[in-house]
Amino acid sequence: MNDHIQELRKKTQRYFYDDGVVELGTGTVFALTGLVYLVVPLIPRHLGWVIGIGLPVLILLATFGTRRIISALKERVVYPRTGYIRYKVEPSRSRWLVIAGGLALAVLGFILPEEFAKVGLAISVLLALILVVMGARVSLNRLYVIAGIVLLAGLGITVAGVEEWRGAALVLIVAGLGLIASGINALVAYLRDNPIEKE
Amino acid sequence: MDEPIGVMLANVDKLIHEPARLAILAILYVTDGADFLYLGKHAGLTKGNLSSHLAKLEDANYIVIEKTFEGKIPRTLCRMTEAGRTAFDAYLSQMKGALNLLTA
Repeated sequence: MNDHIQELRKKTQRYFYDDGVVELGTGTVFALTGLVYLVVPLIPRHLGWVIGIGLPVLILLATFGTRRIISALKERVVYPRTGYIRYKVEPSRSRWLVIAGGLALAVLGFILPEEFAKVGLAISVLLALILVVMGARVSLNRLYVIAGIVLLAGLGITVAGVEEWRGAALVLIVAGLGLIASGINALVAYLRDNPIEKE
Repeated sequence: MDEPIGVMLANVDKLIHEPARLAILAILYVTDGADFLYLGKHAGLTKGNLSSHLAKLEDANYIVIEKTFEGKIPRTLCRMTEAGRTAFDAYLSQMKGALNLLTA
């Protein structure tokens, strides 16, 4: 009986991702962040503070802005078609797993040979971990596929010897484009399968 | 002596045991509220059918139908009450016991 309730819980959580809007938004943030990272090596050294302050601010603004856009899209496109649910706020172990994964990578970056400390590979591993955890949490198999693509991109960039900032940028752009493509595919299928019912 | 399974099943909450209402309550059990459109689609009910079952659940104080605002957006949400949650937990426990007897 408890298994059935857990399955139902997963299904309601998956509903938030079914339409692809969240993937579209998240992918856009990743891709834009990657594009900004491409610009970083062009900034003169004496303006390094611009990166130190500007980059986190930019990422925060992009994330906040994307959340507003996701909410607005859900209101206009999703809720009139398949309805609205308010989710219970529950403590999540997966969040701690991702944080632990990030910390482990940071430690590895200090103690392992330089090959492992490549920023691009580290970011690809962390992103892949996040996608796998999310995919398992809501049983969304397409996230596993994107995780695989991101990991391959990280490995390819490391083998090709792409320098750190550019490597990180490429991984983020690949992850972003993967999520955007997956999101568009899901959204098209959702709109096709769920027309707005006429009164 | 253990309760016979027929007696166990006869004693389950009939209000919850009806398939449509069970589907509605199961959805509300794992969420903090859902609107009529979500409930209708995911419980597989027409508007009229849904309204009828929601009215019975509201009369029994198992659910409450609230008109709220989230920011500037008005919403009408169905939410399970504490009494509803307690009744649903009891129902799950009874059904689990009955199923365990059947499969023992």
